Amino acid sequence: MSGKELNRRNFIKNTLLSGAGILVSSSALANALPDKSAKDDSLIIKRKLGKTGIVLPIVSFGVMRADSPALLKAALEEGMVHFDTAHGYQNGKNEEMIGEVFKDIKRDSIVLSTKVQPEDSDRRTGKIGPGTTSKAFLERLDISLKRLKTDYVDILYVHGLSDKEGVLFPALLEAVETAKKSGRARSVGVSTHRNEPDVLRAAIESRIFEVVLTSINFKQGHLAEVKKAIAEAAKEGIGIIAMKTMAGGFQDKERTIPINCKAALKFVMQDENITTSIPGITNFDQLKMNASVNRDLILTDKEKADLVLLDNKTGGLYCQGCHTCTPNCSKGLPIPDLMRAYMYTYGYNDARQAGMLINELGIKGNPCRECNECNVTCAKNFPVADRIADVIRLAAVPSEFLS
Amino acid sequence: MKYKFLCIFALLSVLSGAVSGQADFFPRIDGWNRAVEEKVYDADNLWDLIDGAADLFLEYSFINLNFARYTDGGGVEVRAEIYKHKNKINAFGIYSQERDAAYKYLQIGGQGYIVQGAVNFFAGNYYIKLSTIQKGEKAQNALLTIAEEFNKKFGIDNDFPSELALLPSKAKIVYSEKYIPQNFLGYSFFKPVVTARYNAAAPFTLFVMEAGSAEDADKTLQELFNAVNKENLMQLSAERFLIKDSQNGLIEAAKSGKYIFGVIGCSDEAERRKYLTDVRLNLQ
Repeated sequence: MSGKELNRRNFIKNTLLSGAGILVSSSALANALPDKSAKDDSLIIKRKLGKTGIVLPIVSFGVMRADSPALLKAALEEGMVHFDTAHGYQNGKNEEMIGEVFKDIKRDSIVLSTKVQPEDSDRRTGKIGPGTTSKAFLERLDISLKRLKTDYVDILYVHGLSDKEGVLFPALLEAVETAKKSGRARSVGVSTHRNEPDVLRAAIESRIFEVVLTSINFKQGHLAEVKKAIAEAAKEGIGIIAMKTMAGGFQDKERTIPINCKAALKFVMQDENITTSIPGITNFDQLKMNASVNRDLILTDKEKADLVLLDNKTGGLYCQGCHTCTPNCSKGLPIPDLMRAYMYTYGYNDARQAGMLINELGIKGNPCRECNECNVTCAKNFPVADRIADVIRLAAVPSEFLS
Repeated sequence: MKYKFLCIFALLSVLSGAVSGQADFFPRIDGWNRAVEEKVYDADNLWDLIDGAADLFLEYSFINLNFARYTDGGGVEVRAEIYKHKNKINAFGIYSQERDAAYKYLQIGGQGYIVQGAVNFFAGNYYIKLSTIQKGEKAQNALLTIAEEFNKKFGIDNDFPSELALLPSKAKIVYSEKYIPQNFLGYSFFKPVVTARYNAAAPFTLFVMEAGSAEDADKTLQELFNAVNKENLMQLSAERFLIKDSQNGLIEAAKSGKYIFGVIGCSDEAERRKYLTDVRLNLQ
């Protein structure tokens, strides 16, 4: 099977329909036996975080809000040990709360990570600007350590990188090396939620970063590519931590129809190259649900069905090229190619590639504008005309302005 | 050069329709160049701009975010982010999650402050964040200048959300009010809550929750009771309950119609009763 054929749908099918057990290790299965005791840590599924020497339960705690200290204490009782925050969350209130809650517990009984954003970075593109300095980055780290009431973090991430240039940015490499040498960081990594495969491979190339915190979920248009890069990174000893595993948690923009979050979390953690995940936890119900995955990773039939249903309903970004659409298009448009351009733009964040593809197709302007009604039907229920209207604009933009 | 100009012209032509709408949000300011981002961020892609911080904004009924940059030609660049929320209480809510009593507060919008490299304020259902990576007096003054222009445009509705008036004012710690739209104290059954810290004889927290109806309030109370062991629950009167919550400490909760309100972390019964009575009066 070629890389291109390794698409998201295939992954979901492989995992859900061909038997999750194949992808789950024997140790994980052994650990997934009925829960004898919620307090029994020996039942918790744990994995090594690359070469860092850190071992973590497969589900950790993404600290989202600064107003529920009781949740952190309860998480410890549930066997969670890893708590993830960021320098910028709530102007530092998030780190302050963690510091306050954990100030009196044995420091090596928990694993703390924080993410520091380079001072001069374009948050829209993830590009690092020339104003980024090692000194400023380390100053931010020191502020974070003070808020966290600790001398070191177990994982220090450079926050929100999206390309190779960012990962290999000299001032940032210098900063994280200094942080590690000085004992302020036990291990160093990068976080990414865009162009993840590029970032993962750049992390390997850096020979400095030891951990990558990456977004990954069952709805991702380029899931196959992400998993492939994760496998490469894991093979090189990079520890992988998953975020955005629940794909936003809702099926709709209005956030009224929740997805089966437990199923989505289990789906991601089937991949043994991923050490742990950091779902955001804001109430005790979520905590209990997430903690239960630490002891039982096997997808139930209902969870599998929910994921397949969701995948069909949301359609995702991947066009399967079935050509159900093409006979009905009065303009004879190459719809699968245009859907591919749409996927490049929104799945891969590669508008340049999308623009090149559209120009190769020789389409000028929005061809759908002349039709009063669209007769096209898509097997995946893509809103075809809307997506064409959206992506076709790139044809008029010179490639040097696209990234 | 000519080709590049044409390219830019073509790019702007393509995008002008979209940009003109967004530009209306951002005031023109003498001496500053304004570059308005064509992309409007919504709940589906807020992550692209602010990473994991997006989750919290989504809890506060975030609608969209417009973004622009101001440059003065002298090396100062100010980024302007306008977060639109469903209503004023949500805009205040997300603002309140990021403020601190130690900040320097400004007469701007509903409330706002300046810190090194940033001015943040809420006004009506907007949360406005201005920031710069430049340091020093010039950059801080630039923030104030731009903030003032934004205030002229957005600072029309400068009132605090009316819900906050339910909180007694006596001994309330300044800048401690918060609006929590869900999961207050980690409980998923809690509906939106306004809360504040108090420093009377000893510090404690007070909250007021509006359920949809008196029946909903009863249901919420029942769920709170279910969350604790029976031996940790004591009924003080028809509508007053003392709860020893193993997660959140001592809570005295009371009910009045569709409202549930309570005092958390206060061991002085007289003090609790006094403040709950004050809330009851505010509800009338």
